[in-house]
Amino acid sequence: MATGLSFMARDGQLTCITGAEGSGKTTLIRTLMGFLPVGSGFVSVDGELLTIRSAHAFRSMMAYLPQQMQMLRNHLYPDACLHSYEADEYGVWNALMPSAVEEQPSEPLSPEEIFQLAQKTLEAAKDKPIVIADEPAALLTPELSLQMLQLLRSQADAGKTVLIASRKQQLVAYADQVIKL
Amino acid sequence: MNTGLIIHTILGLLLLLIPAGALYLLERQTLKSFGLTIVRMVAQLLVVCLMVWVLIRFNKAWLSLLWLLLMAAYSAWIVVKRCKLLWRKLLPAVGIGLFVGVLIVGLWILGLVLTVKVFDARWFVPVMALLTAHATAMMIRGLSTYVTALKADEQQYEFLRGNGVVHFQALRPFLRRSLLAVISPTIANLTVLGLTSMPLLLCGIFLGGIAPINAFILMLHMVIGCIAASVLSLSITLFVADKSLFDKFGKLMLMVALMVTVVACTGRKGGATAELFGVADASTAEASTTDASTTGRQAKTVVMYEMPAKLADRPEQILKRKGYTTSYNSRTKTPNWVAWHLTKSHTYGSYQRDQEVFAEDESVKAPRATDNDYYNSRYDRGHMCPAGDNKWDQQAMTESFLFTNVCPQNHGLNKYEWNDLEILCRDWARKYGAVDIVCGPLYSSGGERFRVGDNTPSQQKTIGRNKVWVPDAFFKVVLCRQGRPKAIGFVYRNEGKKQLMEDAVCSVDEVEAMTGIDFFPSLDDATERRIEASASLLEW
Repeated sequence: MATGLSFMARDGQLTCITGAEGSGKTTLIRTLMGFLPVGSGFVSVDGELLTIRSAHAFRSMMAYLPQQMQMLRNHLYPDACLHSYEADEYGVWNALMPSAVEEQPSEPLSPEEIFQLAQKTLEAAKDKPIVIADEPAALLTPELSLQMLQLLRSQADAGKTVLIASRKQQLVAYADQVIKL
Repeated sequence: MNTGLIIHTILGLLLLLIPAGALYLLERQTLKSFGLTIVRMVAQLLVVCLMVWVLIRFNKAWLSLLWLLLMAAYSAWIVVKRCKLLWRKLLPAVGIGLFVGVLIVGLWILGLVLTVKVFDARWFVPVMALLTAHATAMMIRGLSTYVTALKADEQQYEFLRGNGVVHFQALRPFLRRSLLAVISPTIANLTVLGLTSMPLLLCGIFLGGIAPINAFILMLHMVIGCIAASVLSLSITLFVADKSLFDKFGKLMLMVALMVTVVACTGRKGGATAELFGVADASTAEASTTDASTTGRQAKTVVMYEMPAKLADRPEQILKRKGYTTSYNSRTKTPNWVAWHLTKSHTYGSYQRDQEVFAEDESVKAPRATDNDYYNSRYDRGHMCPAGDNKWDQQAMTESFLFTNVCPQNHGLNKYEWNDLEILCRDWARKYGAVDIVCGPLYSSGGERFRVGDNTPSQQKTIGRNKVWVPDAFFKVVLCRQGRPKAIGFVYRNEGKKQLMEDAVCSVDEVEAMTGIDFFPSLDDATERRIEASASLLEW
């Protein structure tokens, strides 16, 4: 768990949190977003304190690309998970009790789809001043990683605060500010 | 009841000779269960008739309402059981949903559509019974879809939350899936309604001597009412259940709600039973409780408090070792449970694990787990009774490395959460002088996918040539008999994601429900009941 850490992510800058696997990058990001409680110390946005209660209000200012983007198939294709039903002549009245449905996890998205979803998400979040991305390039091909990097850079250039967590050297080297856990 | 009725009933039952005769000629084994089913059905029908008779005889509003309440509670229990949910968490929500949803729609139909006296039992009972039956069936679909979709697509919820969407908006995709799971089959079925089959209800109305046009209208109202009641009940339930499904950070607490069921190799066949209001479920609980109590008595003479009751529903081979006892399962190639009595002195010792190697256990039949099965499997060789609890003796240490004390365990879990828990247990042993510990693997529900004698179910994740089952989660229960006895349980998913200990805590009763194992049967019943009902980390 990260301790003794203090930093400020500025508008128009790309800030990168880095560190070894298990060093708490994701935990830190989730804490900054109010998904996890702060053990000691504080998180503030524009000088206002972020607490568990107020977190949702701050999150409406954020665009978030989580680590497990590949798991969002049902978000990208909302109808992929729907089942079709055959008519059952006795179904309405005379049926036996149905058995429980067990929904299965969906197929992971391809790197292209992940990038497409990231683009779509950032597009929809045009007016949001903060962009947070957890390992944005972890599952992408080298070319797509570069495109992702340019996408994030363009967000920073538009005056947004961009905060990413990554172990990829390519991304770390590209950041304006690097925080090492 | 006059003699004429009795004679005609017997004449009616004589028709059973046709199917029974056919079975007798072709399939005699089934004859017995067929007979039992008929007896069961007749008994159930009689009970229902008696109940309805009482309701109509007294015809009191409060009595009818009480009956509806009981129906809703019983239906809720069926839903929770079918959906394999932990009943204590969600039973109230389902019960409230069914009761309120059915009552509102039912009163609407009775008072505003049919314009009869709403609490007249002759109308109230059949209308409410139909609505409840339909709402219950749909609740099973809707609720199981909702909960399992949330579990499967937890990432989607969190993604939406992270992008500033409020809680109920972020639930929209899941609510939609749940609603469609209820509505889609209804739409499909309604299109063929009456073409090839005449609903029993309609037959009943005709038999009652009502003109076809009135029967049609009544039928229409009831179909619409059923759809309305099922959607309303589901909505109320999901709303009420919301608090039990999410913590204050908006984090799913599904582990608490979703019961990782027994499967572990139980291969019990669901009995074919007659359904009445669609209700059927053979209760299998009695058998296991009696087993438990007899074993409990035996164990008392030896007084090994850590020993669970004998398992009747899965393969079990008890192996007594210096530092622990294990119940080995030849189907999963892992233990059902491993139990040990950890004393303060056992937490210290000079025997180190450095010299030890994991070893095949020659005392169980092959195929059994070997080192090769774990090699390159990406799973750790996860100790159940940890090496750290066996430092007090060379033999105990060596034996803890036998594969009958080992399960495939996620590296992250083994290194962090599970290790933390092992350390905590040693702290408790030092603090209280001694504790009794039982732990083991949990295999998640597979519904019908495990059949009796099916040694290698296709969907069970296994590793290696010997097909060692990979657990979906691990449980651990701890008993402290010092002072006022207390007990606590933990369940951790077998994955690398961080899991808070607070979230992993369960009561021993909950762990028993998930595992089908009866823990600490040697305690006297009152104590056992008390300490297993609840658990709190703060008390330790």
